[in-house]
Amino acid sequence: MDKVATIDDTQQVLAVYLGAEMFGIPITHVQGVLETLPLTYVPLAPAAVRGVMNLRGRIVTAIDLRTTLSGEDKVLIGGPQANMSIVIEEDGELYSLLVDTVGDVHTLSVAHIEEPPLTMAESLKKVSSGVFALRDKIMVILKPSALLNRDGEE
Amino acid sequence: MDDIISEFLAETHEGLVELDNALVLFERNPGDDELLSKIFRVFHTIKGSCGFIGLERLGTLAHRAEDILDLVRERKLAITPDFITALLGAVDRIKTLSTTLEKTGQEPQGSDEDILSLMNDVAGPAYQKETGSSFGSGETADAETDGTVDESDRAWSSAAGDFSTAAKPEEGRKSSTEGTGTQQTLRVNVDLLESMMTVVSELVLTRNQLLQTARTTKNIAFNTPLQRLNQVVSELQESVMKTRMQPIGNAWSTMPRIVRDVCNELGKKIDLEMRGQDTELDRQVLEMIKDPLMHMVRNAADHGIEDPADRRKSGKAETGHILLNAYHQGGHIIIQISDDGRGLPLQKIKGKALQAGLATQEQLNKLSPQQIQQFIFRPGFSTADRVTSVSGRGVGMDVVRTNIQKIGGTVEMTSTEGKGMTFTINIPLTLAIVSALIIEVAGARFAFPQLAVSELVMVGKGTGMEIETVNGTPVMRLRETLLPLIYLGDYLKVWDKRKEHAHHDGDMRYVVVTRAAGIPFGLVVDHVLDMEEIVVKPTAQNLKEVRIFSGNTILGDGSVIMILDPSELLQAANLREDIAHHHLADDKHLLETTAEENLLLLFKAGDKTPKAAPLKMVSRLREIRTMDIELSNGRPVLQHLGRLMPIFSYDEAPLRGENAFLIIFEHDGQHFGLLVDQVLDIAKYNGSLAASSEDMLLDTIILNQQSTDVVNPLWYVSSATAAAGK
Repeated sequence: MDKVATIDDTQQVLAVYLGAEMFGIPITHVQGVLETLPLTYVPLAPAAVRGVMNLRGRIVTAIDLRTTLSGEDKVLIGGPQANMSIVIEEDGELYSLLVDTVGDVHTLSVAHIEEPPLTMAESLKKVSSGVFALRDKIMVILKPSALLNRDGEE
Repeated sequence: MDDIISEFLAETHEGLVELDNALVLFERNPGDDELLSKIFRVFHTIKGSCGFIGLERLGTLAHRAEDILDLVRERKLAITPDFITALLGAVDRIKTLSTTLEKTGQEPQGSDEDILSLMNDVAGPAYQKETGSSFGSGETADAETDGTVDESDRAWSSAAGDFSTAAKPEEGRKSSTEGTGTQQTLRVNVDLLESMMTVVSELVLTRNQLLQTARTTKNIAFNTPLQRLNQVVSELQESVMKTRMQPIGNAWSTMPRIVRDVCNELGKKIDLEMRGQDTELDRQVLEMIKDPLMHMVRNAADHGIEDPADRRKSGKAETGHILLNAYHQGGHIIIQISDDGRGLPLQKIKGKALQAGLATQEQLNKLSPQQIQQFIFRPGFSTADRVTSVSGRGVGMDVVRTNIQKIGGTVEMTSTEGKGMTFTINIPLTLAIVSALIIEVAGARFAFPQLAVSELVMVGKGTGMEIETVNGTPVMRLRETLLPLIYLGDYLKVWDKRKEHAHHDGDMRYVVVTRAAGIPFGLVVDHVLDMEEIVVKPTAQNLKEVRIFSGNTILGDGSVIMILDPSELLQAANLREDIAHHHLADDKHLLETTAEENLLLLFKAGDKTPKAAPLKMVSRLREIRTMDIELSNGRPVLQHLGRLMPIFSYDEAPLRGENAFLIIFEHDGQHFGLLVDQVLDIAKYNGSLAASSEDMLLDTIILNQQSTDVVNPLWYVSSATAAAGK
């Protein structure tokens, strides 16, 4: 599932931001980017589930990426409200990853994607497939399926 | 080739389902030629296709069955139970073989000589004499099947041709195919139907949304086409729903066989009557009730109907009677399973209930026969003396009931000992679209299946109904019973932030009276908004763990709403059946005894933990102006009854507003006040409290499922005295 189609050994990722931190989501997983729609709160749901919303007649489960990535280590805190939705599909179900802002699509050379550093927070390491050093910033590339599975386990 | 095999399997499967049923019917009506040609046709089709695909074992079985059936057609062989058993044996073997074929794509290795010789035996000398030669050529044909398809096909047809010269069944075959006529049917993939259903559901929702908008706007031009759209969508929805409908007879087709097997094994005589086979219901619902129905019929045949000897003794006809009946009633399907057997043995159930520790003798004495009968729905409950191969393993009625409840249905029963019993199953026509009550609690909306609602009751100020507590469980007196209540807001933890624990204020609210697992209970909600037709969609994978939601849906206004599952709610709320089943008479003493227990004043102050104080020490409650608080000797005091009264508080919070709540305690004629954020309620607590303590806290107890700190007013007295002493 996490294998991403490559053209000339490159991978395209969409840059998203949580506060100042930059993350990459493989473009092949992304179904759409939209402003977060009105959410229906789901009582008793896992902490990362912010609610459900109606995307053109389909029910989308909104996952707060900040909560998911922070885990118990609380590596990411504060920042503005998550107001953009990255819609991804997993096992026929639609999910929306809530982020603060959306950046550009970057074409990365697969050869330069490196293993996550050993010192990276465990909660992040579990959901990332690698890191890539852009000219001015380090991007953590996320594995969408891992993001969602982790919620299921907790 | 794979396509051909799967086509063959689908066809064979349908044919086999028919066969089971037809064979049993045929046994009873041996003169029914139409039935005979139907049976013959199925075997013939299987044989034909097998020859074409090259399935040797299946082909031989079907061929042999066809051969001996042909003898019956020529009136050379009489129908005997053994004959039917042999054919059923062949059907079972064909089933097993085709199951393996489905899994592996190949016929398994092995021999069917046992079944074949069984068929030879029942056919007897007539068979040997008549078809010995033609069958021989059939065998040669089998040997050739590892050749090309064409070859084996020719081999089969030559075998059939051979056969036809001997028995001339061709005419019969022709007439039977003509009899069925040319029905315009099409095999459609179930997935396609499902996706059509989903799309139509979306359309219905969009239509609802449009209609709602139209109601509020006055655009004439837009209204007329919308009305037409409305109509067309309704029609479309109806026809798509129809494509999913199947006659309930499909689920019943195995019943005659089951009853027959029970009869043979236990030496009983049972007549199975089926009415309303054509009653149609949703495919999905049909799948869900198949097993429960089978179980109930098996139970009726095994436990319900007595041995012929016993039946004679009790003056009944030797042959027992089981009736399966299905019909529509107000958007639901009613299925009844009745038998004229021995009914439920009350004494035996009582004995088992005692033995299993489900009830005490005293409790049993109080229960009505109906209540005692309900025990059969308990997990693991079985009244069978022995385990037969057919039933009596104690995996029984509880599973049946759970399965039926899963699809929003109910099971009821009536039983007269010695006369028989009837189960009545009430299930919705379809699962895809259901009526739901939209309820609101603390500003959040939820859908509640309307089928599960038995009534709505208004409670609170001015309604004459009120919520009381028994042992900390909220209840309501509804006619002659005590109805246990669940505060939905509490349970879902969605209190209104502005007025936490608002449910203690006696405001008017609604109780949705419902029933799950046979237990009636009430759900306390703030508002009942609307009734809406909703399309149930499963929740996303990572919301599955929140089991009280059976699904979610999109409402007409476009918002997403969660659908509550009554039985999960009941389980989650952990209502005990003993409370639920109490009648008011039994509960009077409960209400009285609690009156003698500790009465606690609940309030909120300091941290989030609810606080309580023994009510007997509270002299009064006052709302004061914070500016009236004065300082004496550096400590806050308030003028009360012409004296200065010391005042305590957990933190600064109550002083921030203009007004504050003060609980005034009295001890030995001395008054002192405690500032709190909010006074909540008076609650009964019937556990024991620590009588006295040197500490600020007397005890910590569990009240309304929350841990509650009970403060020790005496601590304040002593601290006040100590302060005054300084």
